[in-house]
Amino acid sequence: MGGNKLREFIEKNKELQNDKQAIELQHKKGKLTAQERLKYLLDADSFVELDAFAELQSRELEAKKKPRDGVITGYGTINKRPVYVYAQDFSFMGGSMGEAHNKKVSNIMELALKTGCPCIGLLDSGGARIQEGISALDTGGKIFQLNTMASGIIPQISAILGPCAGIAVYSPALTDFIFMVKKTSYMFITGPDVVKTVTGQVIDFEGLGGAMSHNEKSGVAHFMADSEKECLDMIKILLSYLPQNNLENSTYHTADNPSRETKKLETIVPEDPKKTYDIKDVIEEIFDKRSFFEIQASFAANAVVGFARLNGNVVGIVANQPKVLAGCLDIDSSDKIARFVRFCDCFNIPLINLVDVTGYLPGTDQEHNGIIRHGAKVLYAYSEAAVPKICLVLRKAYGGAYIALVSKEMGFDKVIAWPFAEIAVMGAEQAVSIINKDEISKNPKIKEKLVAEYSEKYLNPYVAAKLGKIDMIIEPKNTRIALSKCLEMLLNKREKRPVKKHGNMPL
Amino acid sequence: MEELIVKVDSKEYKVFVEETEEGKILVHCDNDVYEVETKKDVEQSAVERLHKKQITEEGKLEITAPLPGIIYEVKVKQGSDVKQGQSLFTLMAMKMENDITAPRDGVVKEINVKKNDNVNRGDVLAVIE
Repeated sequence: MGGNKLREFIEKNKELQNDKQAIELQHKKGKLTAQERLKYLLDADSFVELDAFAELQSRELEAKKKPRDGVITGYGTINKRPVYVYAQDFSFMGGSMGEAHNKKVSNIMELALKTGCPCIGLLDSGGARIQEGISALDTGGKIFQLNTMASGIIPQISAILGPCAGIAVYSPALTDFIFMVKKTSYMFITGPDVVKTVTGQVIDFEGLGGAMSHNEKSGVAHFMADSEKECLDMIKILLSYLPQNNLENSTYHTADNPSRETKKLETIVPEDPKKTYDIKDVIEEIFDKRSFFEIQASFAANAVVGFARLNGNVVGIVANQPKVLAGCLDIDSSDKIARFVRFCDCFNIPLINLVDVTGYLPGTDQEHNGIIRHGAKVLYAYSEAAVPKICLVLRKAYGGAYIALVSKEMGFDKVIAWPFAEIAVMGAEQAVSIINKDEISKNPKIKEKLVAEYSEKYLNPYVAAKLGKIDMIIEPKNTRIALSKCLEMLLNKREKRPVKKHGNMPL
Repeated sequence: MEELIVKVDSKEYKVFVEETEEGKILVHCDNDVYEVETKKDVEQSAVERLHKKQITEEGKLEITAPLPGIIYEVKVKQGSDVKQGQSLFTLMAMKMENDITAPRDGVVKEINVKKNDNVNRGDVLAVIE
């Protein structure tokens, strides 16, 4: 009784799903279909589709009507953890976002928010469906509103899996992480054709908004994969570090010895503060083996950020990379650090800083582009963060960078230093030429002696330790053990913030 | 401004052509001025630009200073063979000795700096071919 219509629908649906032409077209471009993507991403047989009957309401497009309206939405599990997903279907009107399409996406976002589950978008859409006019735009606005409401409550992940523009890039931009695939995914506000008409500039998809452009130059994207399958695998890995929502903690999972000595650090990090090294080797040595998952590896490489596990607990690492631009803080690295710190704070992930930096990058280029405004984001993000904050000074922590990444008064819970750490306002030479300006101008020979005296007196961790600015001085080989203990002691940290609508973060 | 003879429907016109700053072309003919759309030319020149850039990418490669600082050491000579990742210069900047390495294999064509030179961000230090 009454089942005929349903059976009819299911039959029709099957036909649509097996549209060989559309599938082949997608495969030819090196892409998977929406169905295949969901199948690969989610645990077997876990997907439950919602709103499969939804279709567009416009009379003018009557002929093109198909169930689903170009997007598959629903929920399923990834490694047994529930998630909400939507996957856009490029074969239906270029994945364009019409009213019904947008309402379906909003619907699962609302459900994800209500139930405290991560929300994953697999995007393959040229943006708003022009034929539907303002309704398409307006319902797109609802998606932005929900992205913003869900921000900081549930992790939101976007994978760009085709040429995306308009709504289909702004919605991802409001989410926590953006994945892109080399050679098949693009993001832009307006495509190469419009760019050519308006500016006369001829540029191809890849150059304008390809995975490389957004991972290296703009910093819009966070991850770059070689293929769609690799991209979906990376999403699964990322999720393993994240809690379901802001009221939960990340899962605990250990596979390394908690009392392992980190002897290799003695050879990795040269004692001479002028010599460079790769901070990623240090991270590998300290944290649980093969647990480091870097974010934005190609953008602002002078700072390294990412998740790792320390004795099984997930932590967010922020580190200076002396190998690139002397590890300095500049506009891009400030933005990168601040955003990462805020994410960790939202989702109860403790922060560990590995500091070896002389400061902010000087120069007109930086000043005129607003290093003060961007650098202030780092200060704001750390001051605001209520999660455990641990800092390890490897070699240098000078001036502004010391305040931003080390200062206990600004809110770091534990500060640890190596014996050859230099914690001071600035390097010896610069300091002496300011403090003893008059003496040196009378007798230039004295400078060398003064520099040596200053170094001896101030460029060590003991002055700061005597003042209580540093809690512990440890040998490099004990770093892992010391950090683990610190973290365990701080895991239950609770810090209240005054109630307010929200602060006014420098942007 | 360039003088040209243009033949339209077998009648010859003497015209003056000038290119404005916006890349538009103005054609002066018998006290009249016509603005000519140069869509194809823009496209063409852009293609050429892209093409040229590719040549520099494949052929010559400029090594630029990533940071403002002082050249502390020049480790290669003109004509040296260099391997990808090999250190070319040491740049003293941000109180550190920053290695500037070759992005790929090649031969050093030019060296524009010497020890103790001050360099700005983006200055060309060497050219590799």
